[in-house]
Amino acid sequence: MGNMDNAQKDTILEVKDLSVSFNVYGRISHVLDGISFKVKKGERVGLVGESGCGKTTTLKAVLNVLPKNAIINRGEVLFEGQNVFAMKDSELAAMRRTGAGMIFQDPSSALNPVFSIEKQFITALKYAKPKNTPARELHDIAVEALNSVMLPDPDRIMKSYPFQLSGGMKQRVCIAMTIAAGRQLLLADEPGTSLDVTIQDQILRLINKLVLDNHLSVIMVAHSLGVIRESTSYVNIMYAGTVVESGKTDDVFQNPKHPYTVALMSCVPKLTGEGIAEGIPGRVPDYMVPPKGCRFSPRCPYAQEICHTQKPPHVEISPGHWVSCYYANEVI
Amino acid sequence: MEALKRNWLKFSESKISVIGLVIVSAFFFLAIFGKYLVPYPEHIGSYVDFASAGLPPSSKYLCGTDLMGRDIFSRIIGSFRNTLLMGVIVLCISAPVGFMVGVIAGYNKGKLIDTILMRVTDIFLAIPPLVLALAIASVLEPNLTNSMLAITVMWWPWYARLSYGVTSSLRSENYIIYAELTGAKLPHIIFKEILPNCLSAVLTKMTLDMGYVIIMGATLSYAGLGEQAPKPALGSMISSGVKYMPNQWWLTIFPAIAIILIVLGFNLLGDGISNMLGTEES
Amino acid sequence: MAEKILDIKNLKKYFPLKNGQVVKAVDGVDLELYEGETLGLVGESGSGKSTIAYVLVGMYEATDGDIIYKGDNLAKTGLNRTLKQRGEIQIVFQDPGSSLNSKRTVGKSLMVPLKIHTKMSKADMEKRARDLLEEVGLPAEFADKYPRTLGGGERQLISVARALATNPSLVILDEPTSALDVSVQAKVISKLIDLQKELKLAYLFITHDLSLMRNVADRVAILYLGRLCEQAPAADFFQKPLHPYTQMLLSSIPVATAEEEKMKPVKVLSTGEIPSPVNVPPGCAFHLRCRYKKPICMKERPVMKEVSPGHFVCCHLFNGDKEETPAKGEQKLEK
Repeated sequence: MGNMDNAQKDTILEVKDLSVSFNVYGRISHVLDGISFKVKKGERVGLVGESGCGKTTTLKAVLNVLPKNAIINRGEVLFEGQNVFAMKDSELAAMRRTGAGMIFQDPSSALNPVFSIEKQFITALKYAKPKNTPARELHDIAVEALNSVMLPDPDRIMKSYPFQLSGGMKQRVCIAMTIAAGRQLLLADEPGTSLDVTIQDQILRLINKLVLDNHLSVIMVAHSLGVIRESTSYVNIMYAGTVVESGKTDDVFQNPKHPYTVALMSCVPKLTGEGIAEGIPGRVPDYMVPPKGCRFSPRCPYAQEICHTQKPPHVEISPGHWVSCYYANEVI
Repeated sequence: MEALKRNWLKFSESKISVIGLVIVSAFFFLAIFGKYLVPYPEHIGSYVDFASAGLPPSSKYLCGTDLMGRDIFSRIIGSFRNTLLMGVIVLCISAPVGFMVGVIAGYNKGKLIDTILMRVTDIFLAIPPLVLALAIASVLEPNLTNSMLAITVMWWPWYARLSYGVTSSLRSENYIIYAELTGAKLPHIIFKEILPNCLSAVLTKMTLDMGYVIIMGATLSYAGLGEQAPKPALGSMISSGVKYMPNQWWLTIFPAIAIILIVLGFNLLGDGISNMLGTEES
Repeated sequence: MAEKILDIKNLKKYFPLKNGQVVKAVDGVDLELYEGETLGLVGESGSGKSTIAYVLVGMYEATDGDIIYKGDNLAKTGLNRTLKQRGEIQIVFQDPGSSLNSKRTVGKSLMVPLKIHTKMSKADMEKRARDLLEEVGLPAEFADKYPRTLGGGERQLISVARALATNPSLVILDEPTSALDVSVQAKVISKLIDLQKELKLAYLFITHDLSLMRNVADRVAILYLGRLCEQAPAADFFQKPLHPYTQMLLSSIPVATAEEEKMKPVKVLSTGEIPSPVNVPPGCAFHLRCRYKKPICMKERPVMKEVSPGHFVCCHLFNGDKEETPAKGEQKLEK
C-alpha cells in the first residue's frame, strides 16, 4: 500500500485510455482512440508522430482546453491524482496557473504584440502568485526567471516588445513565463520547429537544463525523431490517435518493434548517408471512418485477419518496452 | 451537376435566403413579362382619366390611383423594367471596369501605376456618392441613360477596392510567381489565375449592390433626374406623392414598399450567395 | 565527365532599404553545377540561399556577378528571359499550400507551362498533363481534382510535374519537403531521385535539414549571411567539416541514432544569435560566434581556398602555411 502511494506521488500526470472525438458539422471524427501514458516527476516524455496523429489534441486534453465540439468518449487525465475533466472551474484554473503550462511552436503568436514583455509577464504572474503580492516582487520573480533561461540583460528584455526580439529569445521568454509561475509540468508543442537549427539546439538544451535544475517534468511533442532522442528519456510513438509503441527513448530507437516505428525510422534521413526508404504506402486513415482493429493495419506489410478486426493489446515485450501489435508480440 | 446540387443545399440552408431568391425571381419575371400581366397596361405611360384620379386602394385598383387617374399597381410593376435595366447595366459596366483597375493596381503594387490608379479611386470614393451622382445627372440632360451613367461613374471604385485587396494578397502566392517566371503574360494571370479567386467576392457584391443601385436610381428619380414623366419610376412616384401625405398615403407608400421589398430581396439573396460561395472552400 | 551547365561567379544581390541601409542578401558567391548532379545549398535564416534561387530563376536581377548557364549570362536578365531560358530552369517551392491555384483543377495548373511554351492542341495538352502526373507517380485521375482535396506530398509532386512540363535541365528545389511529414518526404525524395536519373536533371537542392542533404546531394555548399563558408563533395563535407560554422551546425543537428551521433563533430556549443544581413559584421561574417577567432578575422574578409581536391573553405584558419585545423577528433566535450 505504501509503495503504491509512493508510485502515485512519483507520477505527475497519468493519461488513462483517453478517447476523444470531434463533432464536425454533424459528422463525428474519432481522433483519439485509447491513449495511455504516464509522466513521472522530473521525467522528460516524448510524444512523437506525424501530422494529424493527435499529439496536439492530447496536449489540449491534458489542460482541458479542447474546442467546444470535442467529445470525451472515455478515459481520464489525472494531474497529480485528480481527473482534469472532473475538476471544478477553480481547481482547473489553479492547475493551469501553477500546475501545467504549454509552450508553442510559434512564439510570435504566443506573445501579444501590443504589450511589453514586462506587462505580459507581470499579468501572467499576478494570477499565479498569491493576491496582493507587490508589483516589485512580481517584477523580481520575472527577472529571475529570465535569468534562468539564459537571457542576457533581462531588464532590457522586460522593456522590449515582442517584435524587437528574435525567435529564439521569444521562445525563451515563453519558457520563462511558464516556469516562473512555479509550474511543474511543461507541455512543449514542437518548441524548436520554427527556429533555426542552431537556435533550436539552444532551446532544447535549455529545457534539459531546467528539468535538472528545477525537477521539471516535460511532455515534448515533436515530429522529428532526432529532437525526441535529444530531449526525452521516454517516448510514446503515436499513429492515427493511438499509441503504437512506448518505452525508454534509446530502447525504442535502437530496437523498434512496431511496423510503423520501423517504417518511420527507415524514412528518416540519416547523417551516415545510407539513403532513405521510399515512404509508407497508403495514407493516414480518415477519422470519420477509422479502420476497425489496428489503425495501422491498412498500411501494414504484416497485417493479418485479426489485425483488421480486433485492436491489438498493449503488451510489454521487454522490461519497460511496450508495443501494440500482434506481429511484434509474435502472436502472428 | 454534383456541384450544383451541393451549392443548392448550402444556399437553401438559410430559409430567408430562399425567400430572397423568390422575391428577386419574381422581380425579374415581372420586369420582363409584367406589362402583359398587369390589369391596366395602358396606364404605364401617358394616360389620363381625371374622373378616376386619386382613388384609394380597392378591388378595382389594388394600390389606388394617382392624380392622373392611373392605376398605381400597374405603374409600379411597369417601372420594374427600367429599374432592373438600370441595375444590370450599371453593374455590368462598373464591376468589370472597377475590377480591372484594382487588379492592375494590385498586381503592380508599390509601383507608380498602383499609386496613380488607387489615388484616382480614392478621389472618387471621397466624394459623397449622392452629390457626385446628382452633379453629373444635373449637368447632363435628365433621363434614364444619363442617370445610369452618373451611377456607374460613382460605383466602379468599390470594385476596384475589392479586386485590389484580393490581388495584393495573392501577389506573393507561389502559383502567381510561378506563372510569371514561366512566361505567362498579364492577361493569363489576370483572367485565369486571379479572377477565379475574386469571383465569389465580386458576385456576392454585385448581388447586394443591385439593391443599392436601385435605391440610388430611385433617389435620382425622386430628385427629378431620372426617367422623366410619363414613364413610371419608383422614386418619382414617391416624390410626386409626398406632398399629399398623409391623406392620399397610397401615392407614396406603395412605391416605397416596392423599393423596400426589392432591396430586401437582393440583400437576402446576396447573403445566401455569399454563404454558398464562402463555404465552398471548407 | 559530366558537362558543366551552370557557372555562378561572384554573385551579389543587395536590397536597398528605405532608410538608406542595405540588405546584403548575397555577397560574392561562386557556385558550379554539372549535368545530372545535385548541388546542395545549406544555411540558416539570412544565409541568402533562397535569394540565390530567386536570382537564378529570374525573379530578381543580380546586383553584380555572372550567372553563365549553357553559354548565356543570365545575371542581369531578371524577368526578361527568352522562353527557352525560362523553360530550362524551373523551380519547386516550399509551401504546398500556395504552389497551386486552389480555384483551378490540377490539370489546368499543369497546362499553364504547356500553353505558354508549346503550341499543342487542347487535347494534346490534356494528355500531356496526365502523362506528367503518371511520371511523378500520381494517378492520372488527379488531373480533375482540386488541390485542396490532396495531401501536401501529393501537391509537391504536382509542383514537380509542373516543373518538368518544359523539359528543363536544371530544377531548383527550394526546401521542397520541409513542410511535409517524414514518411511523405521519403516518398517525394525517392521520386525526385528516380526522376533525376531518368531525365538527367541537375538539381539545386536547398534545405536547412542536413541529414536530408547527406542523402540527396552530391556536393554541398554552406552559406552564412550571404557568403560561402565551405563547399565540398557530400562525404567530405560531413566527415571532414573544416569551417567552424559547418562544425557548429553539424554538431547542433538532432539525430535519432547512436551511429549518427558518433559522426557528428565535437559539440560546438552554439552561442549567440544570427545577426541580420543588414548589419553584417566586418571582416569574416562569422567571427562574432567563432571560437577560433583571431585578430585578422575582425578586419579582413577571408578568401576561398581549395584545401583538398574539390574541398573549398573560406576561413582565415586556412590562409597560409600554418594550418590550425580544428581536428574533428579533439577531446570530446560533455554534452
